[in-house]
Amino acid sequence: MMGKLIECQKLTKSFARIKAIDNVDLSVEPGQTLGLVGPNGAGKTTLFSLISGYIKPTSGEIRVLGHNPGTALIKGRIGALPQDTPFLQGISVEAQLSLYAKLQGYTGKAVKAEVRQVLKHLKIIDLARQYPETLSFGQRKRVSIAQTLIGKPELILLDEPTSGLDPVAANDVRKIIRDMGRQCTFIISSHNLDEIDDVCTEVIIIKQGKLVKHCPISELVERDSSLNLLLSHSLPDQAQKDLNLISDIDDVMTDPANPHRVTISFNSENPDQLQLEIMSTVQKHNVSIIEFSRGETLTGKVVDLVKG
Amino acid sequence: MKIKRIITLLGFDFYHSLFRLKGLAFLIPFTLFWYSTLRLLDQGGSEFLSSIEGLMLITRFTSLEVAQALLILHPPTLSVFLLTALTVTPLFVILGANNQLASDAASGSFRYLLLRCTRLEIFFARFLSAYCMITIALFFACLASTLISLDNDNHTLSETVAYATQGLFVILLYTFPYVAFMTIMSALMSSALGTILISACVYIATLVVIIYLNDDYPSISYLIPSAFKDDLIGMTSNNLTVAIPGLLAITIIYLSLAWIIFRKRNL
Repeated sequence: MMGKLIECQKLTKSFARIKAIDNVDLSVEPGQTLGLVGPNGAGKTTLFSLISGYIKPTSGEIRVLGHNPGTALIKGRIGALPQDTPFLQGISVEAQLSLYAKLQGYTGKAVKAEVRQVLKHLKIIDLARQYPETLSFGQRKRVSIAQTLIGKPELILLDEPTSGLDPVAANDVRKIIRDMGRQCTFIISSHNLDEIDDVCTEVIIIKQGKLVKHCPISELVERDSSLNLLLSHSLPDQAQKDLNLISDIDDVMTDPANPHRVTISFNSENPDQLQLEIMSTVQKHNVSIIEFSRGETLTGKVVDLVKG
Repeated sequence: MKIKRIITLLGFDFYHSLFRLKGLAFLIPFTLFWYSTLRLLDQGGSEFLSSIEGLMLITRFTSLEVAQALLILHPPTLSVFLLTALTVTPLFVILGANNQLASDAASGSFRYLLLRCTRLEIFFARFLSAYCMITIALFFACLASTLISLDNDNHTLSETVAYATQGLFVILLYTFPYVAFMTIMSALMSSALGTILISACVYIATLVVIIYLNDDYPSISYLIPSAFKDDLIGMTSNNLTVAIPGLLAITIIYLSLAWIIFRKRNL
């Protein structure tokens, strides 16, 4: 088990008769940014809680950083943003974060310096002296994220890190994840699959407590075999015929729900050149391209896997 | 388990309890109660206690022999403080130690701590924090009693201070298992109010069971710390030899039960 960041073997957690996590085998290498996805009630939060040591497995084994999550040996090496977890009322943000810093071994002036540094990182230094109950949902969320960063943990678990945040704050959080992703491992649970696609390198998909897929996103989603277009008008028949004449194109599909949306599948050794050819063919028929993206979307793939 | 982390948690919880409902719900009634009691003693109470009527009153709580020792051999003000403190200990411990674990376990606030320390460290820190708050409050009540005693009772300074120290030690020893009892209740429950209600119910129910079965099974009274109260009031070395290990054993049993509950609790 040495070298693995997380290792689960036949991990099961039941609440009464419901198996929230069912016989999961999982192995996570360090240095990745992982997305944990699945429908509501899939067991994402339960898996987070097991990794964090908040709850104990009903059966099976879980090792985090080579140890049982409940042991003192890994305390301070994991940061976590649990969902809907309140801070203590009537105690300032700075006092609570200072406690966490002290518990992680900071002493004297280093305590305040570390707390101020994480608050500045999240651009919430002005909230330091405020009480949690006076903060908005988004502010509390950012304070919660700040506490995960204290002490530079090796593994950071974030449960819906950007839900409830305004777009600017959400973008800041994504930037922090991207920047810090080089130094530590993030596991992010989110229903926002575009966000997962944006910041993660690997994805773990679970459904009804079972592991459906764990692989690099690049392996799951084909980036170079399709082009998704959102057009100003429906694609004229002649344009479709012209596209089908291009040798590397396999298929041109119009979304039945939205005829302005077209997916073109291809198999080309030079996809960049082909992309230009497709775009000029479409525009030749006086159709503007409003939006385009190359490759399959993670959302589509996840939906397929979860439905299947 | 790291002692440093326990001390950090204890200091934080203790300091912040003093300014929050958690601590104030104990400190305000405690202060009012002792202020009024000690004021009565200061206004001629100790003089009354030294009289025959006072002696008769005290015999309601203990034997004549012990009452004589308390009111004649020792400063009566401090003796009354000792008797009163031992009598009201269950009530004030219920108020002061009810929220060791309950509401933070239910709200999920422990989740931030659990990433940085173990359950056992949180468990001990919260137990000790509650005990420290009650200890410090009792210390000040004892200090006030000592000052009143020095002013009103006819005993030397050294006698009074020695008896006050002894008395405080006995009260704190008696408080220990009660705080541990509240740890069990707090580990079981999800709110401070729920813990207060259930603790009061369990304690009263246990007392009733003990009273009912005591004749047939005398050892049943040792389920709760009050079985040792008479030994503590007597304060002789023979009595304390029985009471100290007895109360510590009850504390360990209570704390073990509380830990079994808390370690399995989903946080």
